[in-house]
Amino acid sequence: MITLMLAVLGAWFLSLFAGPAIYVAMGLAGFAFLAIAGIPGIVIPQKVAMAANSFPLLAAPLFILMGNLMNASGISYRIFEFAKAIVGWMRGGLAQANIVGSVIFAGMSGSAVADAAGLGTVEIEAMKREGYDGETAGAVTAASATIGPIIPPSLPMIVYGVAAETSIGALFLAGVIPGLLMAGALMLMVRHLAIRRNMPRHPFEGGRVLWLAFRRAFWALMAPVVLFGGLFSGVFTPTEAAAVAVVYALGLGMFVYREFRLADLPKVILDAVETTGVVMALVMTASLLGYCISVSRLPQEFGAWLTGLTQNPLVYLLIVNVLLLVVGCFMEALAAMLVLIPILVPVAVKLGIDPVQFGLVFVLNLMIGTITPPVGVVLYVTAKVANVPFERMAHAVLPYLVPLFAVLALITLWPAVTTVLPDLLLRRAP
Amino acid sequence: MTRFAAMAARVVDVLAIALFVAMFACVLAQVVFRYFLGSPLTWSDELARYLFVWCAFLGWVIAARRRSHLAVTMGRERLGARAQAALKVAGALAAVAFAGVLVFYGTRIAERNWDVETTALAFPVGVVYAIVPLAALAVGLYAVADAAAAWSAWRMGGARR
Repeated sequence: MITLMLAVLGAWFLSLFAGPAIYVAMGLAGFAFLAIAGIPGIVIPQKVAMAANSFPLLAAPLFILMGNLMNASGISYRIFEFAKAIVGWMRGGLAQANIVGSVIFAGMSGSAVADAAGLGTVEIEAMKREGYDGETAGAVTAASATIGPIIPPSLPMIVYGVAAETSIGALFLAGVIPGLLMAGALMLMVRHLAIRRNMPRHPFEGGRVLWLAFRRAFWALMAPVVLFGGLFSGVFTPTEAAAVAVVYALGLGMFVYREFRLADLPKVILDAVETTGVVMALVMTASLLGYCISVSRLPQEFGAWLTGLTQNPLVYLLIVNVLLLVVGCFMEALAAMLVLIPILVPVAVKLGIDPVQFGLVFVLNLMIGTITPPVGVVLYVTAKVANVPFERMAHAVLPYLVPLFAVLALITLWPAVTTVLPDLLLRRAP
Repeated sequence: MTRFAAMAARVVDVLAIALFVAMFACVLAQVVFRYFLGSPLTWSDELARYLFVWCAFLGWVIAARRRSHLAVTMGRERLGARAQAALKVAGALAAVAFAGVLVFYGTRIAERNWDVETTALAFPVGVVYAIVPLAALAVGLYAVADAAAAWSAWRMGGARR
C-alpha cells in the first residue's frame, strides 16, 4: 500500500502543474487511493465533513472576519501612519514603516495574504508616491507579510495545532519572539539596502506628530492587547478570544472610528465565508488525504527509515528544513502542511523535539515558501498590487530572504527562542 | 436559467451569512454564560461546530462561484492559448468528478445517519451530513458551466474568456 500511496502522491503533485483547483486534485487523489486499495468510499464524506467539526478550528473563520472588519474600518491606514511617525526618519523610512506596520497588523491578522492585500495596498501606494520603484515596495511588503502568521493570531498555526494535536495557545505564544526577530532582521537588511541604493528619508517630525499618530491609532493598537490578554491569562480559548476580538473590531469600526457602517456588514461577512470556504476546502480534502496516508502506513515506514538514518534531533530538523523549503517553493502552504504533518510530526515527537518548536519551524518554512517562486501566493498578490511582473518581483524579494533564513536557522538551532514564552506563561510541563 | 442561477446564488449567500452569524453568536454566548453568568451552556460547543461544517461547505460553493479556489496557474500560463483552454476543460471536469464522488457517497452517509442523534441537541447527524451532497451538487454545476465555457474557448482557438 505504501507503493500505491507514493504513486498517488506523485501523480497528485504532478497534476497540480496543469492548474486544477488544489482541493480537487487532493480529493481525487484520496478517492483514487481508497478505490484502488479497496476501502469503502463512504469514508470520503465522513473525513471531509468532520474535518470542520472542530471547535479549535472554528477560530479560523472568526479571525478571518476580524481581519476583514479591521481592513474595512480604515485601521490599516492609521497603523501605517503611526509606523511612519516612529521610523519614517530613517533612511528608507517608508520601507522601515512597512515592516513596523506589518508587525502591528500581525497582532490582529493571522494571514500573510490578508496583510499583503490589505495593509500592503496602503503601503505600496505610499511608497510608490515617494519614488520607490514597484519592485522594492512589493518586495518589502511581501517579506514583511510573512510576519503576520508568526505573530499571533495565526491561521496556519491554528491549522497546525489542530492537525498535529498541539496547543494552539502555546504555538501562538511561541511565535511572538521569532516574529519580532524577523522584523528586526528585515529592518537591518532594509537599512543596508537603503544606504546602498540611496532610498529617500524624512526629517523626524517631532514628538507632537508621533503622539498624535499614536492617539489616532490607539484603539487599533489595543486590539492585540485585548486579544492576548484574554488568551494568555487562560480566561479564553483561542476560539472564544477570536469571537471577543470580532466584537472589539466591530465596536471600533462603528463607534470609535465611525468608518464602518452596519449596511456593509453582510458583504464583509460574505467575504469571510468565501475565504473560509477556500481555506476549508483545502483543510477538508487534505484531511481525507492525510487519512489515506495514515492507512497506507507510510508514516511508520518513513519514520523507521529515517530513525535508521539518524537519531539526532538536530540533523532531523535540518532535513525537515531542507525538505519544507523545497516543498514550500512548489506547493501551497496549507496543503503542504496538512499532507506532511502526519508524515513528519510523529518522528519529531519520537526524537524528543518540542512539538511547539517543531510547529514554529514548520510554519516559518512554509511562510518563506509563500514568497518564493514558482508557487508563492503572497508574492503573487504583492506583484499584482504593485503592478510588477511576477518574475521581476521574485528577483526583487531575494535579498529579503536572507534575514528570514537567519531567523529560521536561529529557531532551529536554539529551541529556547520559541519555547521560553509558552513555558513561562502557560507553565507547561517540560 | 440565468435568473434561476442568480436566485439560487442569493439564497446561498443569505443562508451563509445567517449561519455564520449564528455560529459567531454561539461562541459569544458560550463566553458570556461561562465567564460572566457562571453557568456554562451544554449545547453551544456542539451547535457551533455543526454550523461551522455547514458554513465551510457554503463558503466552498461561494468560492466556486467566484472562482477563487486556489490553483497553481503559473505553469499553465506559459502555454499557448489553446493548450491553456484544454487544461481548463480538464481541470473543470476533474472538479465535476470530485463533486460527483461527494454527491454519491454524501447522500449515502446522510441516509445512514438519519436516525443517529447528536450528543447534546439530539437532532439527526444526517442533517449535518446533508450539506455534503447539496454543496457538492452546486459546486458540480458551477464546474460544468466552467467546463462548457473553457470548451467553447478551446473550439474558438483558445480566445481568452
